Amino acid sequence: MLLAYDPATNPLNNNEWAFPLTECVHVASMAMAIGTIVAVDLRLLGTGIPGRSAAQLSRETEVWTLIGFVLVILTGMVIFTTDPVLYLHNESFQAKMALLLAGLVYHYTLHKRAVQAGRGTLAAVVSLLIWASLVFSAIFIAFV
Amino acid sequence: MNIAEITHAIQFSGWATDLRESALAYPIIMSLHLTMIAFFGGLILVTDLRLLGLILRDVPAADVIRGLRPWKQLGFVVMVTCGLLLAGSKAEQYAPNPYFQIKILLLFCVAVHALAFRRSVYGGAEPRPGTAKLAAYLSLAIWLGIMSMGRWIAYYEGDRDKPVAQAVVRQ
Repeated sequence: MLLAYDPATNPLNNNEWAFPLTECVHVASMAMAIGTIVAVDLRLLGTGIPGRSAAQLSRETEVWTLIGFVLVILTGMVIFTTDPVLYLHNESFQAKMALLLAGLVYHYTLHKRAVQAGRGTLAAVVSLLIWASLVFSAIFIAFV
Repeated sequence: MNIAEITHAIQFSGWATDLRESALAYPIIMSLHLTMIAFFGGLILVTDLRLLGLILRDVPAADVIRGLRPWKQLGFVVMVTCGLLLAGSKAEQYAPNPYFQIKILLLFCVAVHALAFRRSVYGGAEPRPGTAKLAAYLSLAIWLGIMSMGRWIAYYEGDRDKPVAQAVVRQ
């Protein structure tokens, strides 16, 4: 019985589109999380959507930012399970996780405070830099 | 000159060879490409969600479009430039890749979409909700398609013995 089982028949190991499809959801939800943050950061920098304060924009977009975060992290976990050892030993992946943690903490503490205060050029620049660095560390996983 | 000769000439021109063989330039340009997808693609999503009436409902759609336009244009230029550099450096593999071909076709759809809704949605006046929704659904479909095809390019095996994805991801 056991010998008759061939792991090659396992659909998870054979499915050609499951992995890239997960990656697509990962990228799209990343764009949703980061894009909504960028819209608020542009306001903090005195540009972007006119007629509303950063705090107002943030109130109306934060749910979408959160949905983006949840989806990007969930799909990230799924991708991680396909080769945990490779990822854990990858320096760029380690940097990515550190940046993700720093980014999330920053976003919901210092950044949030700057948005509420309605000013903070530096807060916006730091936010944009963290999220851009996170994307760089993600791509470099395949190159280190 | 046929397609094969053209793509060969592109791929083996000086800059393309330098880029392809560079340990740093290639991943940096790829990272910049994806950063622009996050920033600029994310702003497209914000605009489309507003056109659908799901987000920023208190802000006129025309204000959202006008306020984000210059940034999206800048992002678009950087994103496409990086994309052309990446594709050009591997032109021989990319040209026959069906996912790459669909991606290029969808990029033409972006231009058609922009022209089609130039006045009715993106013209400066507040768009009618029905037209705005149609434009948003089409925009989402086209851009999600472009992004997906971009990912799938790496998984096209063609005639090769080795999947391209492994060559790229596992190095």
